[in-house]
Amino acid sequence: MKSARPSILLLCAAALAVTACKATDASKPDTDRTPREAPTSWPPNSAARDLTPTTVPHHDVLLRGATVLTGSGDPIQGGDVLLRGGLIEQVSATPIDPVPEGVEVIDAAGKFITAGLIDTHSHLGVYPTPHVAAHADGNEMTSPTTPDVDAVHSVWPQDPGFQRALAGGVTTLQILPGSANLIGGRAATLQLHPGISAEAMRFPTAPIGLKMACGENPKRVYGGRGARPSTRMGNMAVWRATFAKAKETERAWDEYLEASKKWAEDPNAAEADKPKEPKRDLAMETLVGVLRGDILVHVHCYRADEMIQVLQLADEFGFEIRSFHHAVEAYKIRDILADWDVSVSTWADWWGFKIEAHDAILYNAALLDQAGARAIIHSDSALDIQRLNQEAAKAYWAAKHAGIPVTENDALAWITSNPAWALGIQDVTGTLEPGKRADVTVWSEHPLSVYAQADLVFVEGALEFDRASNPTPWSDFEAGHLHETRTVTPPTPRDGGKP
Amino acid sequence: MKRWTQRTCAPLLLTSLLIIATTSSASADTAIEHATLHTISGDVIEDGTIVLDDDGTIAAVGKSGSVTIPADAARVDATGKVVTPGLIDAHTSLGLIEIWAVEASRHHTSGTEKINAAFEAAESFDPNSAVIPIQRPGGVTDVIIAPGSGVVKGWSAHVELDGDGIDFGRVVSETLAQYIQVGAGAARSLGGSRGALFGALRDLFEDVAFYQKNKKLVDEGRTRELEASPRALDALGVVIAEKKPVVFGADKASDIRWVLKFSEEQGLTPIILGGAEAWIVADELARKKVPVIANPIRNLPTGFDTLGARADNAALLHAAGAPVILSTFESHNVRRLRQVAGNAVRAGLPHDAALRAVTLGAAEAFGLQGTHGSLEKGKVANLVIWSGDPFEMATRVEAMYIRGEATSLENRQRVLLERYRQLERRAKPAPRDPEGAKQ
Repeated sequence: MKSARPSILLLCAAALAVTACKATDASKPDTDRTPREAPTSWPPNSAARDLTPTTVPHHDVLLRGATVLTGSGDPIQGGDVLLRGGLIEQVSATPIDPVPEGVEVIDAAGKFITAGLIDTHSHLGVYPTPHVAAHADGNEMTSPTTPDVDAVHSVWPQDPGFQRALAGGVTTLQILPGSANLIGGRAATLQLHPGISAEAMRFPTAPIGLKMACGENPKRVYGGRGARPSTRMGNMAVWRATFAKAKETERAWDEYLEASKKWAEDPNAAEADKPKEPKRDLAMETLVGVLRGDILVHVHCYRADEMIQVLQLADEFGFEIRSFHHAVEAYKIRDILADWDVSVSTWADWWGFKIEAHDAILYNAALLDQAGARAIIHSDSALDIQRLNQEAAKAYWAAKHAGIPVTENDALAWITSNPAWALGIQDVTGTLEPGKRADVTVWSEHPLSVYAQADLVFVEGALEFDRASNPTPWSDFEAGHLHETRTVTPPTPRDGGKP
Repeated sequence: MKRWTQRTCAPLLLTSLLIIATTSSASADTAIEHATLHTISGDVIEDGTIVLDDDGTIAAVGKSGSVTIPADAARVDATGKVVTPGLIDAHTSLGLIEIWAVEASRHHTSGTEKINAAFEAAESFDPNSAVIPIQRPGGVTDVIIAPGSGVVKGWSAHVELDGDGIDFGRVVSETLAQYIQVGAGAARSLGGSRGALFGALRDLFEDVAFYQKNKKLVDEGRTRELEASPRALDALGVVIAEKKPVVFGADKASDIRWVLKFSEEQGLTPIILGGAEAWIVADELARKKVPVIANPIRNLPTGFDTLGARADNAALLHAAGAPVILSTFESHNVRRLRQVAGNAVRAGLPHDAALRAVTLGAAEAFGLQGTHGSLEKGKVANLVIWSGDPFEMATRVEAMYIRGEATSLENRQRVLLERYRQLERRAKPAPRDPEGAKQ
């Protein structure tokens, strides 16, 4: 983030200007015109009013006697976690006594508690199941740069995958456009409440994201049509031209706001001299949001050399990269990524599907972590989002066995606090700390075990998933389908002679 | 057994592997002692010893102390370790595809034809593939490589993942099973609808019989038009004559029912591949002892053939008494097989059933149980020493033996790790200063 945000400064300046105008008016009773209001912020506020506000049924509970993996300190054995009013109220190594009134006590002995898992990279809703052509809403493949589109407008909230992710202990996820375009559009951070609209699922206070993509995909999609870009140098050229244009837009609006302020302050300025608002350009407005640090940039990029180029692009135009995604070669430049404070969202073991994913290694996340960079395990998959804990475990144990000094706490950070940082919500979720949102998962076993099940998942203090209750599908699509026709209580995994 | 030496592609980067991947040397008997032995065919033996003969088979298995260890045998103390047969992934394209998006390195398919019964995955297999050694740390010693295109897809092969530093895999049998795809996609490709697809398959098998009886007429061109090439019809003739398994790709319960009926009609030995909704037909599959190759991770209604997909599919099939096999269905991440099995257990499949599903169960379905899939005297000595529960995340493969020889666990990803464990020739990068380079 930048130290000073012009939009906020201008807002304050303009507010003062209005007050000043009023004072001036009072001292000049002969001027009867009403105080002038200058436009105060940029980009223009395009947020629609909320038509689907939803209630969150907080469950005030005391989770008693669990192993608490706080993510912010050492594990607590036999600890208590108190959730009240949608927040984590207390995390205690000793029994909380007396139990506050109205709080249900849940015996969590033998269980493990973590912050709800967070996935920085999901296409749930924009590429939902069933995978029918009419549902393929993730790539606006009509131009290599489409910063004007917003993934939230493609999200089908009835995607059956959302509840499956929740059942895997996930509470928060970022939905991105696909990687066909150099600039794919805005990304939205959602929380896993059931929602009638995607807006209803939005994580409040989460900054907007921007999806960009390096490498093979954009040049293949557009080069294949004989259009720009068809090469990696074409990728960079289109990016640079686009950000240069965004700079012009930013300048035009800065000038407009400055002129408006002056006009509003000048009692003698004529109404006809009122500065004209620059023409709206939704695409450039998104990028100006990036230049101002209001929108967080997430870049799909596999190769180390291309990540360096993207960092140079960001440096040239004065914005920051919040997270490289996939980034299978990040380990090769982990010192630089640590130095520039860019997080890396990667997989444990996906590789080999294209040549830019050829140098993936199991040790990527751990090497990054060891170098002081923020490592994140992401899914990019409706299946792997259901077992992010296992994916982190794979990367963790492979590294341990290879002699890379990582800890369980590190591995849990890859799927909780580090992704929270990448999404700009690190102050409100991602660890079990008093005052944070009650985004909490209770596991049947240690979450780095393949057998661990998310038994209870709280989102903002609402118990959205309770395995024992055999939940009915959220998705209307699944209502009346086979999932509901036969319910089975499987034997516990401990049966059957596990060694 | 045939040693494959073809070298269709020899990437330069492999040269660095030649040295480190060569571990097995002189053949000698090996005794692995004091391990927990999961024999699969019999009980788990606590404090067991297994002797690997230098001919590549298992010489003896039993309680430590009750097994005779040859005097010159190399002895491995496996106290506290778990030994299982090498895992078998029953449905992969390992060694058929080096890099998915690089067309020239993709050889699992047979072009655009719909009837490819004569296609042999074995002939596409690259034993030098750098993808193969990457799978070994997952404990997989054997895979079935399957053909991937058309409606009748061709022959799969049984491959072992041993290697002497150049070849990382060898084809054990070339015409293992035949593959037929049903379901919505196949129906669109052949016939136009599900009903029409089964009709077209009946026509095809009629022609198989016709061709066997009338080869001369066909060769002389004195016949009606046939549904497939003589080579394809011959291949299907072999399926019937030798009772080779036919693996039907089928997810939808109704398709599975028709596959069972069709197989009875035609005298085929079916295996169900995918089987997302197989749990619905579990009782019938159990009654007819038809195995299902499933992946319990696939629990989403990805299409209208898989609306009933669920994580406990394998558990339900097992509970009903149907044979279950677990597979990754992967080309590059066959090493995930143990995770797949662990997830089946997580969803309710008993642990011993899951272990069987990736060893002897897979071998039985493909007729390999005489040589593979369990720790028994006389069987091929493909096995793994694990640090603990094979499915658990914390467990690692400590050693792998294929045909009785220790097999390297080194691979290209390990080499890259070592290349980058230290970052060399680096100076501190330009400082991160958002204002610094601003225009």
